[in-house]
Amino acid sequence: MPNLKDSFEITECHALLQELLPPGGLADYLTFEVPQPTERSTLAGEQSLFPAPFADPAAGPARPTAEHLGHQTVPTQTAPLPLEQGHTEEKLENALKILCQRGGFSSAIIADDQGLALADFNSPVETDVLAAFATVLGGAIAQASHFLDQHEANNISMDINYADKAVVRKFMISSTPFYLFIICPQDIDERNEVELSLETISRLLER
Amino acid sequence: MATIISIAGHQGGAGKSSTTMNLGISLARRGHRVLLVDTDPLGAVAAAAGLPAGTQAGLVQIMKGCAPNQAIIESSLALPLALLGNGVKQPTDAFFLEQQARKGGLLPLIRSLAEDYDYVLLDTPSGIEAMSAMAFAASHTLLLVLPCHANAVRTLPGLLRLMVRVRKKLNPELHLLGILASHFDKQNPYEIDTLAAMRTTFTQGLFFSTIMPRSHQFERAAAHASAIQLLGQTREMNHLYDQLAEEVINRLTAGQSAGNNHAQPERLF
Ligand SMILES: Nc1ncnc2c1ncn2[C@@H]1O[C@H](COP(=O)(O)OP(=O)(O)O)[C@@H](O)[C@H]1O
Ligand SMILES: [Mg+2]
Repeated sequence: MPNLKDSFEITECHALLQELLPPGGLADYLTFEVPQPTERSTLAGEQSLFPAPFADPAAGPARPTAEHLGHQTVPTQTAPLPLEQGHTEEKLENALKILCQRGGFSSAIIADDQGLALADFNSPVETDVLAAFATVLGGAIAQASHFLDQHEANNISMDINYADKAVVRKFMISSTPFYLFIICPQDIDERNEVELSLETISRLLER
Repeated sequence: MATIISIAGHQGGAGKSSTTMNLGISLARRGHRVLLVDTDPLGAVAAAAGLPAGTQAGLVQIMKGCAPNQAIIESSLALPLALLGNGVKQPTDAFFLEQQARKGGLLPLIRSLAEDYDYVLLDTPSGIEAMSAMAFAASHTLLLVLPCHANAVRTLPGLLRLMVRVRKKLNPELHLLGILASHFDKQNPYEIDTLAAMRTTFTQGLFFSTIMPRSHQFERAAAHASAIQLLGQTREMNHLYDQLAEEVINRLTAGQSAGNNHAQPERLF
């Protein structure tokens, strides 16, 4: 069966909906006011979330770069934040790069609460997929307040194979949640490095 | 005369009844006189309002002439909000309503009730039934509630065809006010994908800017037989429904120049 986007059903819906438009069509302003859809047409699909890069635990933290995997490194046109595009984004990516180098992490990305990537460094899969996943884990953090009555919980760590772990650190900027997602070896303590970098990252995002 | 809005959707659980109730509350909070009508034989709106389903008089009793309209419509104490239940107590009552709908019998009733209000919201049944067709025929406009599931989109043409048919045969003024994306789980990448597919394919502007997120609070509201807006700690949802009400009013005002006279409907079946 074709993707929903290419299916005849959605085309048929479109045609029928047009028959139901008001006589003069939609009011002009409506056709402009609607926020842009969060484009995410490139979901992983059959591709597994962590393919080759983590196959060999003995290989240590060295990872193929995003370029090797054929992914864009900076797919963040849809970032909804009023960042000075390019400038702030570059700085963010630089901060992530430094974080990874100093901490010995293999990947880092920053996602917003909608699951959109704001910046990434060396993401092993589609950045958007990782951003969506960061938000899912972030949702689990939020549940701590519900199930454990712990309102201060702000990070979650998950072993993703024998050697690596994924860590999500939730942080707030003017009461909006953001997520820093990193992948690093299980035997290192990533917390100090994460906290240090968060200061820089928050300052950049606050602009 | 009120603007009559059908809250429509083809899937059970899409959020039609919740939308009816909460949009009604938000409109009433702005001081508009609102009537909610339960045209769904299962009567979810009455239940959500804390009125035990199946024990109240409603459409059935009015149609049978057992009770005058005003005696049956429940008025809220706090808001200019009124509710007319379906009055279905036995399965035969549901058959009776369905029969009346086929004959077009409910149309004049709903139109006459509308005289006393600013907005009448019709909560419609899921699926393609005579009751839905009747509600659409009696309405000025349609608000489509759609969960962001691929299957919901794939099966949507069935309902749209009914709407187009009603517009052609019974109610040429009928049009779509907008689509409300409901139950949206922003943590589910597949739902994001489905919503994006719809918003890029459908005529731009069809979706309300307001999107109803999936929220545990609905279950809490249901457990208390209350509307989510009437519970505490639901500021975010209240705000979203207020925003939806604002959009509904804006869209209606924008469309008013097209006029809202209605031809007398003929029989659909
Ligand atoms: N946005 C939402 N998030 C979570 N639950 C919801 C939401 N909207 C509605 N519900 C719940 O889903 C169920 C079905 O909703 P309802 O409004 O009765 O749908 P319908 O009338 O289309 O069948 C109800 O239990 C309701 O409380
Ligand atoms: Mg319902």
